[in-house]
Amino acid sequence: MPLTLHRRDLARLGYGVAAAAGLRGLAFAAQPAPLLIVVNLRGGWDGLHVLSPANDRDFVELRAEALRTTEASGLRLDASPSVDFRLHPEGAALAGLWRAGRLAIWPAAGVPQPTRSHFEAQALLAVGHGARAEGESGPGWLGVWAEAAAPPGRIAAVSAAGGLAPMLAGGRRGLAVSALDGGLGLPGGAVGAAMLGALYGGGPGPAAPAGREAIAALATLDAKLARDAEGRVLPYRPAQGADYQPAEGFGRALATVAETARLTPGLVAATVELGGWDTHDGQAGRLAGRLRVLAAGLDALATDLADLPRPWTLLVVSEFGRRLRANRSGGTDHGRAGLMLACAGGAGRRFGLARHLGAWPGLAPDALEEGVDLRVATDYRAVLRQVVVELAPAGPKLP
Amino acid sequence: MSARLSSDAAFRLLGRAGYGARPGEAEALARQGLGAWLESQLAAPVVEPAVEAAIDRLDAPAEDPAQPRTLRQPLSALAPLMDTSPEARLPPEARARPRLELQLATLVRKARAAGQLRERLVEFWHDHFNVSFLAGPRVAVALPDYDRRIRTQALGNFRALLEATATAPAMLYYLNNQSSRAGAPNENYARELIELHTLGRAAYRGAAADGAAVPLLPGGVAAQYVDGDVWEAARAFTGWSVAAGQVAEGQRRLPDDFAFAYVAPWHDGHRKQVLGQVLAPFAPAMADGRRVLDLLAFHPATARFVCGKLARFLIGGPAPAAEARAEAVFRTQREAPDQLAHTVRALVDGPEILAPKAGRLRRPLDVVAAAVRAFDLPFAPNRALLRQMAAAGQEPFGWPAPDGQPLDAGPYLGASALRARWAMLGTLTRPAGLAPSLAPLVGRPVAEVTGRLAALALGPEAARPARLIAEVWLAEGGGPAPDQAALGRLAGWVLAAPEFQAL
Repeated sequence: MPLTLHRRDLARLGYGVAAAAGLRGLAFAAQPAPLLIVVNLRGGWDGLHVLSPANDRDFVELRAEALRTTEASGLRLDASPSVDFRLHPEGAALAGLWRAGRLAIWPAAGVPQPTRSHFEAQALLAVGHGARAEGESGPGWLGVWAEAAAPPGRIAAVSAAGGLAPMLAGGRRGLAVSALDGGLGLPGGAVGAAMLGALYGGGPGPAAPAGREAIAALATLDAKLARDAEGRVLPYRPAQGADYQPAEGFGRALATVAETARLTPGLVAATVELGGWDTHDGQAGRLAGRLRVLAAGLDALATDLADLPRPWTLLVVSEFGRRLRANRSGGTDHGRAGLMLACAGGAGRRFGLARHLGAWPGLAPDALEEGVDLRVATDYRAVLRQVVVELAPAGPKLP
Repeated sequence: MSARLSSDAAFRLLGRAGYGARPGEAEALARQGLGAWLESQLAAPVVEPAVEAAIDRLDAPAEDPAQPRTLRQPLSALAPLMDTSPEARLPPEARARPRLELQLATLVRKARAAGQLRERLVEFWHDHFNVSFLAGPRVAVALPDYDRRIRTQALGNFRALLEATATAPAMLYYLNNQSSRAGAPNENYARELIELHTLGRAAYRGAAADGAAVPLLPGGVAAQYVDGDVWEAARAFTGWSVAAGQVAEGQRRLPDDFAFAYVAPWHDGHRKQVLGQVLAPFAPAMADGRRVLDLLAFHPATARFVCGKLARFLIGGPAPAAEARAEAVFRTQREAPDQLAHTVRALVDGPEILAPKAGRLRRPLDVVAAAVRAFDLPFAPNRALLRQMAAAGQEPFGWPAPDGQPLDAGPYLGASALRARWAMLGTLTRPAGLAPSLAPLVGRPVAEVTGRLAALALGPEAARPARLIAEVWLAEGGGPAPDQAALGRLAGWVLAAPEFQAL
């Protein structure tokens, strides 16, 4: 996996290299940097269950009742004049964001390449490609964008995890940090810092450059952490009483992103993962549990960062949606189009995609892909472009 | 009779085909030669009594040490732990015990087994046929049974290994085939069986509608697969389940011993077509599924995919010639009970695995085992170590997705993962002191100490870290003649060097 982003990668993705270099210094020098947070729901979440077309006759007929949200159980969004989209009750916080004009929805988005493979779709999603023929290798699309969009500084992007998300791979200024509590000092104190600094100043193999970058980035962020008189790192205190606790590990990851964003005004991209969506079996309970965690986390972040002095957008992606007809395990198998969401905030922000609803192809037999799955009506890359342009109109464009 | 090799090459071989050189091991292998070493490794027994005894001496991981160990028990004896009903009222601790015992046993086996190559293959197949304890208590409790199945066939026959995993309760729960029923089958197992266990993603053509365009191999089997093949294969495996006291239509209640069960009323008996081959309707019990396993196991795409993956795992860098040797043997020996031993021999018996430029990043399991071996450290793994490994990017049997613990360096080279790795390596050399064999180094000049420690852990790459560690040690006020505690700390810094992080 390449650790540095080459000029040719920027060029391949459509950035004039000189322009990209100039952008760093110019475009955002005078205005606050944007922040794009991507939440990746690995496993392929069932968009049809999370946001059900409750009055669609084909849907009601073909989808088992336990695996759809109904007019009785779901939260009404009034998103479309013809389709009564109902949000799963565990997603109540999302309905609140929708009504507040802070949410956009694409109900039938996905990878254009017909694939029902997690790993192919995830690989395409990471590099921003739409088809197998374009290949799966190369730097992550978000890392490329962050590199071009960020003002000068050591940290442009963060993954709230032990390792960098594939979407950020290749960027030179990406940091993977799973938590900030307790500080980011190196083991062994001052001697440790001296030893590791010397050992990773050179040396062969893949660990040496990664270690160098890690040591520098950890030191940069560690120096910014708030400490008490004894030098102990103070716990993060979210704004507006936001509570990440109910969102468990996902909430802790979002809190890490929020705190890093507050400490790093030049941070322009972040990734958080939430798995457990591959619900081939026992979906009703499992999806409700996952959605509870997701909604609690997004609610906390939206509250916490409501007054961040710069614009931010949080994008929810998943590699695909799930099959219209359920299987006899009480679950759904791999499908095609899925649900994408964008939620926005920041001090004084007017979200240009407020209450946006993406294309909906319907579930009539001739509208389905291969007769079984919701058709991809919006190329996921069109969503990425739309979101990026709205967030940072003067910044670099996605190809 | 086998060609001699340099001790540097032997050192690299022991890191790649095993979990690292113990003191003196590389020199012994250099004298012995690659071929002789390889034959003795391939002949190593499945169970090594001395290693198992060391595992039995570990402190019991549960809160109640009086409880019998679960590791040695058949799955049927653990049936009470599989009861997930609320009435069972089992503490999570009881259910966690089998996987915890297996995790710790795995660490001991990697560090101590004489049959290092078999341990490598066991690790490879666990990644390849991944199941995760995070998927639920039933997978977690069934893990020791799963490990026995993999261990038995690790150097055996791929087709047999494939059926051993297909009928394993851990796999049947993990990929949900146990609940798959005729009419609307669960596609999870069939999908990953084809994409991850056999043909591989390179053979995936995509949409079912493209099936007509897939070329045929001589003999009429489709060269690639489409979604339609997944859907049909899923039908073939309906009825492959686990006996958990269910009542099948028109049958008596199944036992609740959590053994594999073929349940005829749940099977879709009608005609199927997989990879262009017709599966005749109403075949005998399990015949449809077995036919699919045959088609997949003997498909050339499987030989290519599995051997390529095995080469990346053992050799590290690109090694097309070694892959081609392995692939040819994998195919010609497909019926042999030791097909995989032949395949591994073809892969390892060549120049590729010895090359300085090959190798890959050591994952957390690799670094822990290699650290213990390099210094002959006293080793009693515990939960704290497992937590450190998780923070460094790998908790054994904990990778949630069916693609298995990644071999790519990404998840282990993030700042947090590296920081956790460095901390973990520092603690390994500390608490229990160092091996008796290192005692003569106490009180010797620091440059001599780091030189010796680095030679043990880093072999041909010892010089740079040995010099730097001694310099920094003295510059930071460390004593010129390290005592026992200082020796442990210096050993920890040797393990933290970038040279130790790659094979």
